[in-house]
Amino acid sequence: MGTTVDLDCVRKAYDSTVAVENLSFALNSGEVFGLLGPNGAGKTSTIRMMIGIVIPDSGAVRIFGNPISRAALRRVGYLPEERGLFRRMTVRDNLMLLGELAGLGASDALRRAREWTARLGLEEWISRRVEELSRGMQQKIQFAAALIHEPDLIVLDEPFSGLDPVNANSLKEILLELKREGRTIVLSTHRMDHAEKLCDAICLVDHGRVVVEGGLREIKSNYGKRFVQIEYQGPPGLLADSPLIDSRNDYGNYLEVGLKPGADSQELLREVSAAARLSRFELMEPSLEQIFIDRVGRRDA
Amino acid sequence: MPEGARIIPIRNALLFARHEYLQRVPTLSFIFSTLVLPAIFVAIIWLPTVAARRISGLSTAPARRWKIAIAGPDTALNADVARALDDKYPGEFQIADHLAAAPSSKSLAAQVRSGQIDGYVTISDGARMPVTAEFTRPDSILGDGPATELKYAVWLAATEGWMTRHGLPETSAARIFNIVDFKTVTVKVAPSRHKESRLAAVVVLMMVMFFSLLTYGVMVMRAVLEEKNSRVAEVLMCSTTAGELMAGKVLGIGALGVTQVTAWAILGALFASQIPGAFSTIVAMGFGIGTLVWFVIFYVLGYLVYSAMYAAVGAAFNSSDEAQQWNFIIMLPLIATAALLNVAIARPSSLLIVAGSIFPLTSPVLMYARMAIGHPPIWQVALSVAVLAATAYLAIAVSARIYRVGILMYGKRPTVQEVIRWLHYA
Repeated sequence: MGTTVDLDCVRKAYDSTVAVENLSFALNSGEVFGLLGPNGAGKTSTIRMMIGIVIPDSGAVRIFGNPISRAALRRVGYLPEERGLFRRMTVRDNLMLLGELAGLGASDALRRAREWTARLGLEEWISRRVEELSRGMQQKIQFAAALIHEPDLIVLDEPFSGLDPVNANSLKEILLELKREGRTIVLSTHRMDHAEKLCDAICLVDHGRVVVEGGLREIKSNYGKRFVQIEYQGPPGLLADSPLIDSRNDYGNYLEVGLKPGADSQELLREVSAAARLSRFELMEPSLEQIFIDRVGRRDA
Repeated sequence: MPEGARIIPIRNALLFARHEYLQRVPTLSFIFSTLVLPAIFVAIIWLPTVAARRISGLSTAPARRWKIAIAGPDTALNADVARALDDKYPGEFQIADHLAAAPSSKSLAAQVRSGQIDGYVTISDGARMPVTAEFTRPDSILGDGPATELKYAVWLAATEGWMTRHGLPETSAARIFNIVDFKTVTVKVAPSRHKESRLAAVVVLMMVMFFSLLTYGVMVMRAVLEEKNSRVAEVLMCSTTAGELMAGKVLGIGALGVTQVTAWAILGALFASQIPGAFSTIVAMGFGIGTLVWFVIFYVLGYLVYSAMYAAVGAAFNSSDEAQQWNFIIMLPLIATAALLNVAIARPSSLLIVAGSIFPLTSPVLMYARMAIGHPPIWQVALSVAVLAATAYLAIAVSARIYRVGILMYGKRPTVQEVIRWLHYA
């Protein structure tokens, strides 16, 4: 299994603002890769460098093993964060034009435009102008536009934004189908629940730098059972000053804490039971969201 | 050459061009401006002419009848003036109160004010030279009204009176007034030697150019802006270069302009074929086959250069409000050529005009003007066309460069320095 995308020590600055600094990661072919991070972390800049819209100031980007070229970009499907369709054109014309630009013949492009609108349940909208469609429908058409030329690398910038749960789920189904077909998928999101369900590997970026990178499973197990969920009745601010923890997420009568490296969970249990009435104390693998909050929050602190 | 500036391969550019073209041709505004605009244009030119004819009474419609009062101490002279008016301008004057010996200007002025009469003439005693006369008219009459006719009638009557008093027979007066018979005759001049009328073709070129740019140049700009703002650009950048995109836009919308001008030419030809002698007049105005071919060449090239500049402005800014001031700045050289046209007629070989006919922003009109009125050296014509074509290519490449960088910069209005810096970006 080779790599589909390689970023090597990539840097990009806009005037005085550094968007991406010394960013490196690799994407294995056929995997779903999540590019995660808070707003403004540099996700979109990174994605734009992957598809050659932005040229890095330094460092190298390779797709399909070679520097970015027109031929390579034809094998890429891209869904931008915001709507990227010709608003006054019909759905059919949009899909056909984008398909033809990606190298399809006119009849192929038309056939696939029909297939995709049918698959997404939008057949009756094919002759309507894009501006007449709802936001969610536009997002689905945008999705079809990114996939119409059957790209090997699919790059999706916040694909779930603007979709209701039903549509988000059907999009997720299509992504899993594409994954089974062996395509490589990059998706950027700040929705950790989606990423956790879909991704094989992730790269968490913040302030333009990689915070965590690698296979989702390894990342989680490397974190170890460092997280503790506590349900309790007692005074507010439980464990707020504890020397044993380095992160604390308080939901009122439910608390999630991260143990400091080397700290003993049994010692924590003793401390908690002395201060409050416990109904649950559980050691667990961190969720992606916890890792996110833990790593990003710590950097900000 | 950088990725963004490459214009080949042409397939994608043509796809865009077709898309831009087909998207706009069936729109109501295009059909309206193609068919209805010429009609309105003709009406605007025609109606005032017709209206003016009606007012001045030059048409076959019944002439206006002036109601005039004549007053003065010399009642015989007053009567002579009335007779002269009747004689020389039969049916045009109705004389009221011409025998009033003691004129009361006040009451006459009151009549003018109330609209009972269109004016009055007061004439002094015919026996004392010089005879003075004064025509009083309401300020609502356009121009001088019947002043010329009245002056002639008073002069005729006074002179005849003077001659009679000095013993000359009445018949001799009539003779004197008929000594000279002055007529104006027109001669046809060969069109090739008639510079000013041949310039009609140049003026038409300029007007068509102005119109096309105002409509389609701005349309190119808006299309680029819209694409940038809707982020379609990002999607497109995966499969095409900015150069292809810009070329497609300029060509597609350009084809729209050419379609419209062609439609107008055909409509004009159909219209002219209905009027006998119209074609020879058109040829006399400088529209031969040769000039038409050159018209198309200079129109298309000039249009490409200017609309590529509009594309660059669209690429540099985020909204048409921001780009607004550049609309006018881009048009300035074209406006300057209108001013230079007079110089071109007077001194077609002057350095200013020769330079202007090669400089790409003024050359479409000025070189065409030089070719219409004379025979500029063939190498200058070739150079002019070559410079235009190269500039069109370069302008598209530059706008592609700006677009390429411009799509990455959202939200902030760029300064001119920044745009220039973008040109150096990879």
